[in-house]
Amino acid sequence: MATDPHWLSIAEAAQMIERRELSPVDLVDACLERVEALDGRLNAFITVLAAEARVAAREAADEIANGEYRGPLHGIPVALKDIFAVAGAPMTAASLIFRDVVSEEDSEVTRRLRAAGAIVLGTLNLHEIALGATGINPHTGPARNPWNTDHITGGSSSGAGAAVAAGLCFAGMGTDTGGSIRIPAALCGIAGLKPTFGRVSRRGLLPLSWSLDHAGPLTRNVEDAAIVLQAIAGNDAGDPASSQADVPNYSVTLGDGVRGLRVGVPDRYFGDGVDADVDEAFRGAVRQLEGLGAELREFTPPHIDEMPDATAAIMLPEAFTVHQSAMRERPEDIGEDVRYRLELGAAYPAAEYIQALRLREMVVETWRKDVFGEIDLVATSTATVAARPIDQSDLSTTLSLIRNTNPFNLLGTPAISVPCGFTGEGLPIGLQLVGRWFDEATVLRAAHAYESATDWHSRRPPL
Amino acid sequence: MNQPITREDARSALIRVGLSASDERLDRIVPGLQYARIAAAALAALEMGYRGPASFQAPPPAGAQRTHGN
Repeated sequence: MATDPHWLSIAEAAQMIERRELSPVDLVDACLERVEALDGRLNAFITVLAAEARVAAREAADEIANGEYRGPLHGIPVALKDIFAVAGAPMTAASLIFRDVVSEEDSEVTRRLRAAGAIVLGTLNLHEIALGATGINPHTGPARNPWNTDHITGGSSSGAGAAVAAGLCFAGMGTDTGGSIRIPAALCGIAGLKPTFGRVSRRGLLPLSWSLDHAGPLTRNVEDAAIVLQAIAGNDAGDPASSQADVPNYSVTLGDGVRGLRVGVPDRYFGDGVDADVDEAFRGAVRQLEGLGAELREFTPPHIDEMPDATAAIMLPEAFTVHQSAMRERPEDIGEDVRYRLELGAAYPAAEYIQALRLREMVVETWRKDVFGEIDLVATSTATVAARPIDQSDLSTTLSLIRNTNPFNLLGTPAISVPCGFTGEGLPIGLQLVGRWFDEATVLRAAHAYESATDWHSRRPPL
Repeated sequence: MNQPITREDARSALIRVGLSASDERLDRIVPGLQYARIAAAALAALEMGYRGPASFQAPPPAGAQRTHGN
């Protein structure tokens, strides 16, 4: 039986589009029909740009027919978290504060995706202003997990997790300040890549914490994440943090395997409080990597107890400064959990914020020398728990979700989550692989090797 | 550093940045600020001896230069 078009990978669809066996028009229609059929249950989208997407798909089809094929994203339907500017579309940040904002121009990521030929289907739900990890939102409602719609998707890129996992689009663009790409990827059973800080431009994104924010893709497999990263990575003078580091061709090394790679397994912190199902899946994944030829090395993660506190001491005050006028003028329009975090950020003394920034320099140098001088990758479970029921998700859930991811926002290293198992309840579990700064190629290569040896990523939710 | 944070401490901190909050809200914020203070103490302890990357380093105090004879 032929694969339904919405379940193709980007790489598979791209081959068919290039050979003109599949039209972007039909692919966009297939996704829009799926959005129509399922999004009432999933609540993944905030704005669906159906008419615009159909026009763009027709243009893509015409270009390809004229021999102007642009590459593997040409004609591929994507969607973006509703804090990426999409020209002419609302950018609400899933908040009452921004509900009347319409973007005048594309974010740099949107622009690069369109330049590569991708078709923008719409914008995606999120935890309000991206400040939270559950995806529960009092204004837009929670995005619902395709594996069990009574459960959270994780966040803050909640709609991206649900939309990609449910086959509503082929890639969802997310942002990650403490885990907000990797957490929904893990909880929804897909791949989520946080590139190195500075690798992908944030111009045209609503900031949460400008020194911790990263933008990156959620996709159904690692090869697709590499394809999207290839399109969006690279210097942009419009983002002061944007790096001038060269962008390699990720497809060249994707299939190189893990033989000889030194994979570090932390001997403390990351395994604390991990649910039994998650722990078992993680251990199985590490054994799998070893079986594929990786060399496992246990190590003690330096400064790990202080890193989450430093992350909070940077993130919360920066988030408050971004939103301080709203906090002064209309705090009642901000959801309770987000308002609470912004109030905490408002009350942090400046000295603690600056202290945390200084500490980050030290921690980065320690990890550069003592950890990544000895190993090539770090492996952990992405979250310590799987998706909790929506009505049982609270602050403790948030802390369990961000525990293993947010240290790598402080470091700014590239990190990916890939599916590595399921709980007894049938909910996905994620493996996190973290690499050296600007070495996304090794992260993708190892994740692809693991994925190729397992079938977790190819399972589909029972919708 | 170890003195408990009070509702009035929280109120003062918010007033400094132009915010106000009810007593009930302040009581919710206080534990978070208390945790932040403890965390800050841990960060400060970790920071001891760290001079920052070379580009951030200020020259040592004049007295220290004299002590070391340079």
